[in-house]
Amino acid sequence: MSLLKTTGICKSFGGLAAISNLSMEVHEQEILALIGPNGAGKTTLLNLITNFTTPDSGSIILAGQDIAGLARHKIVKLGIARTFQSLTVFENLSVSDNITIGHSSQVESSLLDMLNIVAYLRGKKEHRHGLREKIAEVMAFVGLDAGLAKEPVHVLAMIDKKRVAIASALASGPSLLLLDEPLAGLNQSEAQELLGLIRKAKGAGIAVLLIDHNLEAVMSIAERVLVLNFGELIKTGTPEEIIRSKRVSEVYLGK
Amino acid sequence: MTRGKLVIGAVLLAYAVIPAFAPENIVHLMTITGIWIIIASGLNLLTGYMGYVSFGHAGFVGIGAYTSALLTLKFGVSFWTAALAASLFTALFGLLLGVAILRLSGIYFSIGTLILGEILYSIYYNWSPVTGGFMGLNVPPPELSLPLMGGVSFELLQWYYFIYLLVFLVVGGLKLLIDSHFGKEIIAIRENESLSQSLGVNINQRKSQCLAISCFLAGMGGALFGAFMGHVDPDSFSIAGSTEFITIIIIGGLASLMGPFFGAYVLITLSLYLEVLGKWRMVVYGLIIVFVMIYARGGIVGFLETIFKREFRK
Repeated sequence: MSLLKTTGICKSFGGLAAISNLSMEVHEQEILALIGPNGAGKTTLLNLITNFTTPDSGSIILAGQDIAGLARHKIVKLGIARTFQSLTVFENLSVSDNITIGHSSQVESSLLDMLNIVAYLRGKKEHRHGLREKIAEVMAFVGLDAGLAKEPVHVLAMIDKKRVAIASALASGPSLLLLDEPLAGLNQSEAQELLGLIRKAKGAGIAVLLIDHNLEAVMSIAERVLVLNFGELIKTGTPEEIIRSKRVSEVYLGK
Repeated sequence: MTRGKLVIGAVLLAYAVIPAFAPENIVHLMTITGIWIIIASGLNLLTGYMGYVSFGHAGFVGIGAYTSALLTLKFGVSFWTAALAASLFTALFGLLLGVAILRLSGIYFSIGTLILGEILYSIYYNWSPVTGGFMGLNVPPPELSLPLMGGVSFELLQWYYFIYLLVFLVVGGLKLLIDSHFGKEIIAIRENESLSQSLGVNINQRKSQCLAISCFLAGMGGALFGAFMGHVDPDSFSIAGSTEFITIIIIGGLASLMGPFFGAYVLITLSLYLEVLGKWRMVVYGLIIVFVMIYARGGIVGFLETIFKREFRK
C-alpha cells in the first residue's frame, strides 16, 4: 500500500535542477533508502516533502491529500516527522522538553484553550500525567535511560543526542519518519544500535525513508532502495538489484 | 515547595504593611515600580522567553497611555473601561503589526521595533491636536464606585494596593502560561525556529500570540502609568524608555518570572541616585548591560540561583 506518492516534482535553484521530474512512492511500514552521490538531491527531496523547500511543480500525495507547499506544522500533524542532516536538537533544553515539543502537534493548540484556567488547573494533573507517560514511553522506545529525562541535551553523548532527535520526531506519532544521515558520526556498534532502532520503528508500524552514505548499513536494512543522480531517479529496486545494477556502479564508481 | 510558598507569603505580607511605615514618596516610587514590573514582564515574555528583542516597547506603552487618556478625556469613558479598551487596542495593534514585523527575526526584528518605537514617538510628539504634542495630556484621576460607600477617589494608597494586586495577577497568569505547552513552544522558538516547525509547532501563530500578549501588558502599563501620574507626554515613551525596559529584564534575568521584579527595583533605585546625571544616566545603564551580559548572563536571578544552588526559573 502506498503511503506517500510524489508525481513529477521539480525543483530548481537558479539554473540548477536539484530535482527533476521525480516520481516515487513510499509504501506503508517499509524501510526505504535513498542513496546517491553528493549533490544528487537526496536532502532536497526530504525538504520538498516537509516543505522546507516548495516544489516548482508536481504533487506530493500523503494518504490522498496533496501536501506540496502545506504549512510545516500541518505536515507534521498529518503524520510526517523528520530529522536533519546536521544533528539538530534543542541543546539547551532537557530531554523531556525536547520530546514535549515533538508532541506539540498532538496537543490542543488554541491559546484560548490553554488560557481556560479552570480547565487548565483541573486538567493539569491529568494532562501532565499523560504527557509524562508519553515521554517515558518514547524514551524507552528509543533506548534512552529514564534518568536522563531532566538532563540538558548538550551533556549527552552523540548517540544519545541522535536518540533524542528521533524520540522528538516519534513523539508526533508519525506514519512516515524521514531520517537524513542518521548514522553520520557514529562508530560501528553505535550504528548497529541505531539500525536496530529503525527496525523497531518499522515494527511499530512506521515507514522510514532513510538517507545515508554508509552503503553497507543501508543495504543491510532497506527493503527497497532509490538511487538519485543529478536530481533524477535512475534506479529503484531491492538492495540486491541495486548492487547488481551496472548503471548504479557507474554513477558511484565512474565508467 | 513549602519554603517557596512561605517566601511568597512573607513578601505579600511585607507589601501589605509597607505603606503603614514607609514615607509617601517611597510608596509612590514603589507604585511606579509595580507598573514597570507589569510592562517588563510582558517584554520578558517576548524577549526573554521567545528570544525576540523589542527595542520599541515604550512605543507600545505609549499606545496604551494615549488611548486610555483620550477615551477618558474626549469620550468621557470611565478609566476602568478605558484602560481595558486601551490594553486590548494595543494587543490588536501588536497582532496586526506582527503580520509584518514577525517576518523578521534576530537583529532585524530588533531594528524593526527600534524604528517603530521612533515612529510612534514622533507621532506622539507631532500630532498635537490629538496627543497634545510635547505638552501632552492631563488625565483625570480614576474613581471607583463601591456599593454603600459611594465613590472612592483613587489616592496613593489605593493605587499602591491596586497596582500590586495587578502585578500579582499578571505574574501569576504568566506563570500559568509559561508552565503550559504554550510556554514550552515559545522557548523552543527561541532555541531553534525551524526545528520547532519541523516538530509540529505552529510558529507563526505562537509568535503573534506572544507579541499580542506582550503588547497587551505594555498597553495596560501605559494606561495605568498615565492615570497614576495624571499626565501623559511623549518623553515617557521615547527610545530611552524602551532601553530602560530592556535594562530591567537584562539586569533582573531574562526568561525568569522574578527577573522583571528584581530588575525594576534595581533600576528605579539606580535612577534615583543617577538623577543628577540627567540623560547621561543612559550611559551608565549601557555599561551595566554590558557588564551583566559579559559577567552575569543570568542577571540577578541567575546570581541568586548560584548562591542558593537552586533553580528559580522555569
